[in-house]
Amino acid sequence: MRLKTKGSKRFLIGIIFLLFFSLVPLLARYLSPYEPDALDLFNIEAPPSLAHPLGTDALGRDVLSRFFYGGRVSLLVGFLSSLFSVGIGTILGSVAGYYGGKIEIFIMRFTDAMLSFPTTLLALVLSPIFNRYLPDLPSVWRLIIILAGLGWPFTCRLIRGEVLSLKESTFVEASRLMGAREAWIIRKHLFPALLPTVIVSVTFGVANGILAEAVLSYLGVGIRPPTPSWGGMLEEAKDLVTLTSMPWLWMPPGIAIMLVSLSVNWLGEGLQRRTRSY
Amino acid sequence: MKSLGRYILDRVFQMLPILFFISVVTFVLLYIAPGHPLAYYLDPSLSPEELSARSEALGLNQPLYIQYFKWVGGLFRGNLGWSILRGRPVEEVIMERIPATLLLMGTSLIISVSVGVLLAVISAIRPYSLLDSFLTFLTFAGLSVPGFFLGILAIYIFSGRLEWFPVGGMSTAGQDFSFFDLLRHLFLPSSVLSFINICGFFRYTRSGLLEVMDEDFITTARAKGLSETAVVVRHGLRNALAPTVTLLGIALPSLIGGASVIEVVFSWPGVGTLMVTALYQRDFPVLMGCMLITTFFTLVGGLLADIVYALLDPRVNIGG
Repeated sequence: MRLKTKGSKRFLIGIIFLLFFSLVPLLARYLSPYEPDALDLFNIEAPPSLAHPLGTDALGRDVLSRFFYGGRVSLLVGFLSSLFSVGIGTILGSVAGYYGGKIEIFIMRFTDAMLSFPTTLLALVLSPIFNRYLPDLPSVWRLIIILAGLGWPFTCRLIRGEVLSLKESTFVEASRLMGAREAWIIRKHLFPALLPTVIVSVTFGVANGILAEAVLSYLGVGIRPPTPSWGGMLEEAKDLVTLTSMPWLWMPPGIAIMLVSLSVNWLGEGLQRRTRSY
Repeated sequence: MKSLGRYILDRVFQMLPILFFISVVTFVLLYIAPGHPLAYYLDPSLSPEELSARSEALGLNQPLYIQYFKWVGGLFRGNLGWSILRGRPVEEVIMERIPATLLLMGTSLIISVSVGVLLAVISAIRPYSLLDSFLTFLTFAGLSVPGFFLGILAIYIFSGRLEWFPVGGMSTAGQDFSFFDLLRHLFLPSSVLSFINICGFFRYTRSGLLEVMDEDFITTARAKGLSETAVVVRHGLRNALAPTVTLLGIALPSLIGGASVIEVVFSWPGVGTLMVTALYQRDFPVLMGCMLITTFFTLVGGLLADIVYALLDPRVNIGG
């Protein structure tokens, strides 16, 4: 892994931004001036002030505290949905690529079919269906399951291609000729060679997960109140009066989503460049 | 080498299992979706006998696979189902929203392809120059930003603060239709959409161009003494357009299906807004109808992109 290449600055900025944005929500409990659901009925929809640095919402809740706690939820959704979808995709993709034959045809046809569905739309449709059959499932987990269930085909395709070319590569052939067992080849050759792709996929997946949370919560089918999330806070901007006259309610989470997704993508791009070694 | 017609036929044939899968998934989702079709008839004055007669008339007592085949048979006749909430056929409800979506998405697509490819060519003539680096940075950032947040920001700045443009919709209420009024409403949503799409087209075309510029025939063209602009535009571009064409194929379904979130942000009365409204009203036949159409055009887009790709690049062996 080479550390110094072109775009090092962006890579570093990406890491620093990301560290900052993951530290802030992790420390939400200590940084927040108020509880995220504490009501201050004397200060409803108040603009930013010393007592409430980012103002308050329609219920008098402190926007800064909700912003910290909301970031925790958004990052959690982004990270876990990415981890799960890349996990499923990696397993299915490597099985398809390594064993070939009927299993491969079956998995890849399924993947193709899944890829032809419009993802956002399918997520919209699935939310109320989940709600009907699993009404007690917290909206955070519902969203993570839906995003992971819809996101894996991208990784699956990528990993299968990689496994196919690795299977034919000289070093795998050499160890096979020397009499190495299947399990040994998978553990010692395939897995380490796949790791960079997997890590890069997880990284890009986090950004996609955060964006998907924002879109779905904005449309009202993602994270449900009272749980704060950045996307849920953006939903306030659906109201035209709020949009045009109370920017403190929706601008901070929007800008945070922008910066986090940008830095995660920079990080992913940097990792991709550094690990493209073979 | 097989003929192009045979190639298209093969590709269509390959699509059949996928179409079958999609139809099954859609049917199952429709079946398990909240809001039973009979729920709308649940009138307390109805006796159980009358209710079962209704159910019989709607074919809900038949085995599931018969219901599925009836539904698929309907699809082939262009019958997408019945929106009980609206009391009209689904295809009619969707059809009347298509012009608005086509106008918005078509405008944005034309702008973004032409501007995106143009910028990519300018960038590729002097790769890694200041301008190229700036555009590469800007488009990378553009692709990382959620589009609907840009839309909200645009409304806040240009409609809320500056009051240059209306906050949404397609026409001013209580005013006769005028072309200028339509343009004023179209400006913000199509600009936001174009910006996002330009980023995609720029990056795909630029990377395609840079890859082609290393080929031997480009060196030959340079050796002939052609200017760099002529080399890029006349020799490079034609061979670099494959990824751009793929992206165009991906964009095709959005022409019909719309960009739901952007349409909602700007209350644009298109198919995207219809889907989200149908979701809120739990009008699943309409929602699934929109999804079915979008998915179908996704497949068609992929097919068309492959065909154009084969025509464009002589190295692609369509017999393969």
